[in-house]
Amino acid sequence: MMAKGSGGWTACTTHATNENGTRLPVVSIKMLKRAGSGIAVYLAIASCSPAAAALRDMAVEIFPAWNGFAVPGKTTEVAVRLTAREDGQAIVRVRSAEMISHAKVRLAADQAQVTRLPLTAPLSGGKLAIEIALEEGAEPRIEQWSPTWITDTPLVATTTDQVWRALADNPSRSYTARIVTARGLPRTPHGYGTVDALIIDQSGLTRLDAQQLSALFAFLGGCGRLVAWDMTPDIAARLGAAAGCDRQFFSHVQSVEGLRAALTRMLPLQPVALPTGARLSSLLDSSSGQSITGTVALFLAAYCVLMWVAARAAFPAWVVLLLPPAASLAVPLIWLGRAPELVSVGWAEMWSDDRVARTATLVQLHGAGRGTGELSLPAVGGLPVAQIASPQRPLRLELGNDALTVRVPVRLLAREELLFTGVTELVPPIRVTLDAGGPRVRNTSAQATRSGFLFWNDQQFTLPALPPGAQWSTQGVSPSRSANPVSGWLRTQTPKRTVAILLRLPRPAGDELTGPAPADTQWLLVRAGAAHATAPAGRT
Amino acid sequence: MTAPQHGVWMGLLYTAPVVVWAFAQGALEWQHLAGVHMAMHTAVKVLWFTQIIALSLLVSGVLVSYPLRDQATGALAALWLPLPILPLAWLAGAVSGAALVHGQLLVWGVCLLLLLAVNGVRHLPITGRLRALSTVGAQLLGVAVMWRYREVWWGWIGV
Repeated sequence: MMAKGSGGWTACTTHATNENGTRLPVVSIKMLKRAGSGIAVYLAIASCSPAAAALRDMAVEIFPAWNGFAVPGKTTEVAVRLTAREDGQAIVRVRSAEMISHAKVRLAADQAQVTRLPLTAPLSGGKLAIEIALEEGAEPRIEQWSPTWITDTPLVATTTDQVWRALADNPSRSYTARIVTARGLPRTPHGYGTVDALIIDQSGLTRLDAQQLSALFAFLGGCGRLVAWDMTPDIAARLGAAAGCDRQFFSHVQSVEGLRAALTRMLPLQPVALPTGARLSSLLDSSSGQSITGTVALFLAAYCVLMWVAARAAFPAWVVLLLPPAASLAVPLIWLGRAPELVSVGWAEMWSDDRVARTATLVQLHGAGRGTGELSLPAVGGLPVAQIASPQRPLRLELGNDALTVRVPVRLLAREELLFTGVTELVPPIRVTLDAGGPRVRNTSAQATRSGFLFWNDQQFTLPALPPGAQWSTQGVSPSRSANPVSGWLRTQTPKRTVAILLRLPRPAGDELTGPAPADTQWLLVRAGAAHATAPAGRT
Repeated sequence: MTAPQHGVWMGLLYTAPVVVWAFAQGALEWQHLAGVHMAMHTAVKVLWFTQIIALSLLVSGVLVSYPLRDQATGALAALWLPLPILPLAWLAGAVSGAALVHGQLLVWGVCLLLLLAVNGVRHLPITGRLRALSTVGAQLLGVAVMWRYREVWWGWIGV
């Protein structure tokens, strides 16, 4: 590691170890470069104050997920290990044009502390800066990390040397295969945004820690492409059971030919898109956030009337002149510091036989003042993948030990939208089958379901409320024309030979569905039909 | 009608369209951050300019027959009437506090120049229509210059 004091460049530490305890090459002056991993580090400290000295003496090591491979515009994860000489705290921040995430780290003397930060890799590529400061607003120490950018083709990562060698011979160049260590796999679902497919063997799987397994299962449940290579049937079956999207993006293979076939099948496939923020917003009550607009309009109207009365009644000049500044002072008194109005809608989507649902939760903050709004979410089992619906500004994330805080600027009459996507384990309350007679729906839960909508064959039907155990089919039922705001979109999003059922869920039951971000209104979409094979595709 | 009343009426006249326009602009995409932000931002710019126009009218034409004290009172009323728009725009994040202060200082500076111009014309050895024309001409020239170089002074202000 390098530090620049007032007298010039001086070395603070001359070695570093990776997360596994493996020793890295000795750091040279001005630049640290580890061949093959693409990690480049330097830092600049322009002060010799005690705080700067403490920062300079801190050992900082950076461990990007995927052994340093990154794709412009895709999400990834970077781990930062800090070892300080004294007790204290530090703020670690990583920023790109799309996202700024930071975490406060409590440091104990001579004890390494690892922080993992989600990151959206910049579209422009280049180096990424990681800032470490002892307190907010203090001059940070800046480390730079140069990812190995993958820009050409879909990125297929594997933990198996045999697979990597086999895939390296890829004449069609339809993907780029890279080998990564099991330790290089992310520990948050966010980190999986980098790869288009992951091929993992049983040995690699057993080397993953609990956080990595949790993130891997979230990736799998969220319809990430995963190929299980040469696993025992029970382990492969457990992975398959955790897969979402009717297991269309999961394969268990035991031969190179099977592997290539699986990749050829899966890579062009895309999961049915979750609704966008705009689509979800159409499911919200149209009056959301209008009260603030009404208050402002009322204030301005009252002010104009007051001035008109003052002018008509020929009030003394000082009264007329006093009213505008008084009203101006009243504006911040009324609105400054007021909490924003918060509304949300949740969406969970799964296939009838799945035990995991993909979720999307839209949170709207209707600004009623000026300041910064904070939205805290539990970070159990990893971070929710979050993005701002209107990406004019980078998303600001703050990571705590057990919560993720999203910070958004709050402005009067302005609306901020956050869209959280994730996965949640779920047993659907209904079972949907599609046979020659058309779709059949059965309430498999212990409670009556609400009425909903069924989409099939470009048609929409009204699904009645079903008591427990009751069954319903479309035979003899006429299609309906309902005013559901997402009906038209869902008809287009329901492929041929599949059926989709949309249910609005009662609030308490629905809280579990939208996972990390509970919503005011929750919807569940259950799909069925067009099954895909998941059996091993061959043997070497 | 007294000069302050004139000021209020003038202020209402030019504030109302700005308010209506800002809300209409926002209503196009009311729930969108950029819509409200841009509407407020532009409203403040328009407000400064309309303040200058209103002042020009006040000091050159409408109030020319009033004594200087009433004239100043009317100008103040016209200047101050839209003041609540400014903190609203600041709360909406459309402009910074510094830009608002700079904008008002500039408008007040222009107001002072206009008053000086009007009173300067009064002391010229001209009478009747020629004096009135000179007064109005000076004001129109001032407004035209402000419009021509609006990007320049908006830049000075910091918007």
